[in-house]
Amino acid sequence: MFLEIRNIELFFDDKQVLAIDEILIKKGELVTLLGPSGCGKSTLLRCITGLEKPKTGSVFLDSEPIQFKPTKERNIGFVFQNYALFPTMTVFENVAFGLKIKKLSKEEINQRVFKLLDLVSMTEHAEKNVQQLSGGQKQRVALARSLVTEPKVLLLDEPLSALDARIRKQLQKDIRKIQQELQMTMIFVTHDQEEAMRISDRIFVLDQGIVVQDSTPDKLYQKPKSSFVAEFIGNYNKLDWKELEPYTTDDFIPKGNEFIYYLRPELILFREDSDTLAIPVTLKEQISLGPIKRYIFQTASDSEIMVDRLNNGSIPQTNFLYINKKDILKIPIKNV
Amino acid sequence: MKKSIVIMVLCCFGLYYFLPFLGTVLYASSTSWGKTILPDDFTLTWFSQLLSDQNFLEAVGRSLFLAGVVLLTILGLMIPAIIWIYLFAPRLNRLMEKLVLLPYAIPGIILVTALLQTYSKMELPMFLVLIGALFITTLPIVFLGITNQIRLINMRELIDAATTLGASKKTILFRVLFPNIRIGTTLVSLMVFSAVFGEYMLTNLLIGGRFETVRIYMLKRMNENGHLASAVVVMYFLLMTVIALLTFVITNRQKKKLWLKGQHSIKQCSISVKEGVTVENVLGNS
Repeated sequence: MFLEIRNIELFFDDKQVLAIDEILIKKGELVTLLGPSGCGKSTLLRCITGLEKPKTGSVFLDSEPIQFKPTKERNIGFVFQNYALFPTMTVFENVAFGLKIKKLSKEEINQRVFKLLDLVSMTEHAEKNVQQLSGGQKQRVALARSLVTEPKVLLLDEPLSALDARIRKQLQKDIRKIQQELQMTMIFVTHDQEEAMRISDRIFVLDQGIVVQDSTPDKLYQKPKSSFVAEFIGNYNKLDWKELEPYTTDDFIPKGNEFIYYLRPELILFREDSDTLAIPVTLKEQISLGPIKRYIFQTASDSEIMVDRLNNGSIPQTNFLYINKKDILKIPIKNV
Repeated sequence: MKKSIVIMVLCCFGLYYFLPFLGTVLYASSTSWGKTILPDDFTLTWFSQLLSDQNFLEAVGRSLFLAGVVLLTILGLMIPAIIWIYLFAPRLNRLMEKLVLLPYAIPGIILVTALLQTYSKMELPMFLVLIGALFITTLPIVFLGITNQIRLINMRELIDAATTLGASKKTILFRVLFPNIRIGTTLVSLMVFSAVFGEYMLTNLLIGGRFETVRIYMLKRMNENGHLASAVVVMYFLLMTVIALLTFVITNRQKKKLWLKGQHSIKQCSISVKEGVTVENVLGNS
């Protein structure tokens, strides 16, 4: 593997903030560290780059141990959430900063800086002071600055979270495109599951400093291993097992003390099908999510079930929701 | 609030501030002014008398020397200390924020009495004691001014960014840290310089007789001749204005230099822009 992170343990005072067993990343892969605020994803990036010193653990980059190397010698690029551009410098000078440190010739610096500025569509702003730029432009400059030194890995710490939705989506596309063009290994940190799904080859979900699941975006959505992942990744319905009890069959026996039952909102049916359970409901609320319409139904035991459908203007005329038994996700309580 | 009201209020305060100064200038430029709105005559006698007075020139020299020494001492000690606290001991910051406000809480006369009682018996030169006292009184300006500047630019992240780009500590210090606190430091320096240059109480009580500064000279002459004292005030004001203007000119020149440097780089690189970018070109340099 190109990047191997093993047995990382980090403590702040006496509190353990990271306990990573193993993260293995292939060359040219874009992986995302996903998790709620404070789960340790940014801290893990700082450990990889050497800005934090973990108590234990090893980091191998391209088969070379780097955990004892100082940050400046690790050849790892870092893009910060708040851009961290040098405010007294122009766009050009910011991007050239790392190259000047390497003492490259003026011609080479100029050539490489402008190639990168062109790559992030910022050439025309080269002479501007970075304080004159918008948030999206600043992040493009930050991206160019970290790529220009040709790092082996690029770490991006919530780089888009300070941007508005439109620019954010555009930059997601751009980052992915640049990553694929340069075949750059990238670790992207976000707390936004949609963003993670959109750009990643693989996603590592973190909770309280531990990797709780890693898989491809599709697998993660379809087969969450724990209650935490199911609730964090998608808008899973958490079903009350007592409501499922009347539908007990030989091959389906709801057990409230052993499992939690989840169901994705787009898999619930309005019409009866073979092998479906029927749950009596009343329509309580409709929420438009743009292309998707979310219907909130109330069950007899006062719990709520969400159903997602394409927003085509029709209103479901039904007093029952039908659930296919095979679509019900059973998560053992020990995994909660 | 309507714009006209705002302008009117500002004009009132402007006049309130400007009229006494105008009065002082006119008084310093006349030989007699008693019963009329404007002075009876116009003269530069007091200014020329002042500028030919060796005592005045020496007093200006002493004030400049004192302000310079205090400024260099406080900047030399406090800038590294503030940066160190911000980066390595952020918890100390809260304590420092409270400590630096003490000079405002303790009246100057108590400070002087305490200093005299403590150090007069130790045979410590009183000039050093004065510098220490002025250091403490100007500490809030320096600490709060520079700390705010560091917070404003998120210094920690800038240092991390420079480190990941391969910068050494020296490069970080001279190319990232200092340029980014330059404007804050300039303003703080101006405030400290002005405060020490015009300081009277501590200087007079600690070493007044042996070290006559501009303020002490001015108050002495005020009892002898009001016109001359007014001329001293005007000269004092002009000197501070010149220092302030010089500070801003230097700051702006540095900014302009930075901008021109950027422009120069752009011209040099106009050819490479036209070449366009391909993945091979980017990777080809590795």
